[in-house]
Amino acid sequence: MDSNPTAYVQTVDSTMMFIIIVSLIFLLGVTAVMIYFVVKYNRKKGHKPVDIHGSLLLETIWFVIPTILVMAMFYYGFIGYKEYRNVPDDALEINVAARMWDWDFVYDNGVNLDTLYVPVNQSIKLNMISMDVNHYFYVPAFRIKQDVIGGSSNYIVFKAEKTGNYNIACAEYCGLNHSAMYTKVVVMDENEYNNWYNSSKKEEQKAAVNN
Amino acid sequence: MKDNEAAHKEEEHNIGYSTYLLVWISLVAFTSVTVTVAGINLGDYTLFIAMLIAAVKSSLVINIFMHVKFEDPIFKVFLTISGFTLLVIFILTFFDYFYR
Amino acid sequence: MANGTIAVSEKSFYEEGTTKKSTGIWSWLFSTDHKRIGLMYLIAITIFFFTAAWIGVFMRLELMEPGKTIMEAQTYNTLFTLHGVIMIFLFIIPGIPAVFGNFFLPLQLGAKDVAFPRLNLLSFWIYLVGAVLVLVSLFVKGGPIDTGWTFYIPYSVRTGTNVSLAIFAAFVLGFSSILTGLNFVTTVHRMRAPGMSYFKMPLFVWSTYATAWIQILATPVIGITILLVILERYFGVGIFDPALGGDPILFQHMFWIYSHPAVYIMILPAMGVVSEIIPTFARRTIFGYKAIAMSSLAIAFIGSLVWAHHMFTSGMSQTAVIIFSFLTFFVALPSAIKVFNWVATMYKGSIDPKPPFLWVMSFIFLFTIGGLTGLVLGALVTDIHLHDTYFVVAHFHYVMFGGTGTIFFAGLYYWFPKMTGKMYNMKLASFNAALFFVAFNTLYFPKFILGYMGMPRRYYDYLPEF
Repeated sequence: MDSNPTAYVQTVDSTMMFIIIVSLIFLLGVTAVMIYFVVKYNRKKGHKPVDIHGSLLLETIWFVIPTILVMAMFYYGFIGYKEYRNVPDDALEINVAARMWDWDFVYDNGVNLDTLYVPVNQSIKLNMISMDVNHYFYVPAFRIKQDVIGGSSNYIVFKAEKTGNYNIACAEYCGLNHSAMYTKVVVMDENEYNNWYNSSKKEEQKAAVNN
Repeated sequence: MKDNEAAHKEEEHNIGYSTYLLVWISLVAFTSVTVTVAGINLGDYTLFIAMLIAAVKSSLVINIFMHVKFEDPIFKVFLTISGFTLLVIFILTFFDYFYR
Repeated sequence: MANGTIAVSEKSFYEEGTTKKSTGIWSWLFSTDHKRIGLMYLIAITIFFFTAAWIGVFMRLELMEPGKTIMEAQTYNTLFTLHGVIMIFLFIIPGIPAVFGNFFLPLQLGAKDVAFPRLNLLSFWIYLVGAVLVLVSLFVKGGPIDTGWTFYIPYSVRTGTNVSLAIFAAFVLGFSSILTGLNFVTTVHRMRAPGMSYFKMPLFVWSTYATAWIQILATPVIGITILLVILERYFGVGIFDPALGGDPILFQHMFWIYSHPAVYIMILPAMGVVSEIIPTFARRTIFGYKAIAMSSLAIAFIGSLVWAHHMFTSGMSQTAVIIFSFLTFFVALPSAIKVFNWVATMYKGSIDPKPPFLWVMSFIFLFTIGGLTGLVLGALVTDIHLHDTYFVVAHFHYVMFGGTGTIFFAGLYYWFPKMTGKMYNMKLASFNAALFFVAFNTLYFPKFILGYMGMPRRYYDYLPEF
């Protein structure tokens, strides 16, 4: 699947597929057996009910098999989580401040924007802090999400592999305009990004002089 | 049941005012220890010691003032279950606090 | 039962155990009879259920198309808060234990009444006071609460709306819940009929017993949390508010230490009802009695230790995240064991699919979906993507409404003849069950897909692509 914007998306989607397939087998199995019993042992057919009090063997089987399966699910989730929290050494750091109901992205050169611009194929580490209430930094297309809280800073790491515009949403209810707290992450070529970075710096300085 | 109640009453008489007074004094003493200890920086142990003193104090209150020491075993079992659950919840919460 | 009415007469089924003979409405409102208290709960709870359901309908209407449809954003935020608060604190937590538990627990144990009948009445009155406080909080200065039913700090400290009174109502309702739990635990321990050992108790009693334990142990935590929030609002004590050096994650811990076990307060009694209905209509004993009874206790215990899976993205330590994800998967196992045992009970029975049984069948389907999507949310990577999206909304509606709600109706149909001495129209009741099943899936299933596409919850407005 080369249409994914980050490699991490693949991890999430395959874990999701694994759990969903196991779940579907269980769901369809349970439902089919239930309906089969209801039809087969319907009272209209006049069976004599048989009392069966239980079976230790069966109880053990349906304890052990799900245990193995859920442990596999935990393992996949755990592996993916390590990938998600791992910060590469060359990560580009950008500071993020969330307010009701705006995002603020602060670059090393002092540029201050409400849209996030990042270069492609470069790990980005966002250091996020909230100015007031809890917010969530959420990029659905990248499958990443992290709380932005006051008091201490949280980080999130991603590495976009395709250029384009993606939505950033706030996923923790934060008041009146919570649902309008959308912005964009713009993923650009490296050259394009460098050009933008340098020019934005000049503009910022100009603005500073004018002030 | 009747035997139990009788035994219960008998034991109740055994607690004199002197015992209550002694427990009260030790509670006050522990409180002052807590206050003193709060002033000393013991690093990671501060919280542990405060919790320990609180635990001793609450066990005194529960056992003597609330008469649980002289009650049926079933009450002790219940209290132990509740205390154990609380302890586990504390431990789990501190996995967050200490590794953050 | 033969006279077929519930009219207050000297010999009525409802007069047993009532000491004071009074007439008219007072004989109900001040009755210490567990059956009457159960019925009064039923009436109150049904009213709140329909209120909250209508709020839900208005919310869906608002979301018919992007932008403003019928109301302002502030109204919408208030409505989803009220929907949550009413459904959770006034309907689903007291729902099955207070109605069917009060009515049938003493009968199933062979006891004359619950252990503390007057405490039981007090608990009902506290429930009413709590409900009135919720209503009052809508009209006093500041306006209705808009924080969501989770009351997350710091927003619940910053907002100008009337948070204090509304959460105080939740505090009061918590007391009602604790007293009911206390009553049931004592009743089960002290008032079993001679010869009824623990492993002869009906399974509904077992599940209510496990629930009562959670009510006693977990509810005080929400009480403390709520008091601290109120203190924080009025005096700025700075325990939770980051601006004053507090820790907002601590609030989330304390909130979920109660609110996750509360989920099991909601679902466990429903599981008990299922374990009653299936053997009745399959005409055979339950399969794996001990496994079901023990899994109730296991759910109650493990369920108390998994609260932080609501907080994987909150900035909690990574060690804690991994531990809680691990524990979360274990709570799935006892539930799975129950489902397998229920289905096994149908094996070689003589099944008569009457309305209560139809409700139970749809429960098994819906609850299995709810439980299995819980696994998706328990796994770390998928949870991080789906947390606070519509996927979660769909998941808990499948568990809560598809689970407990369905069984509330199943229990109503199952025990209605016993409670009133009347029989309902079988065809209509079966149609009701079928209609519910279809409508429920139409309403909630698409939300799983929306959630995976990345639609966050509690959104007044949304992007055109959703």
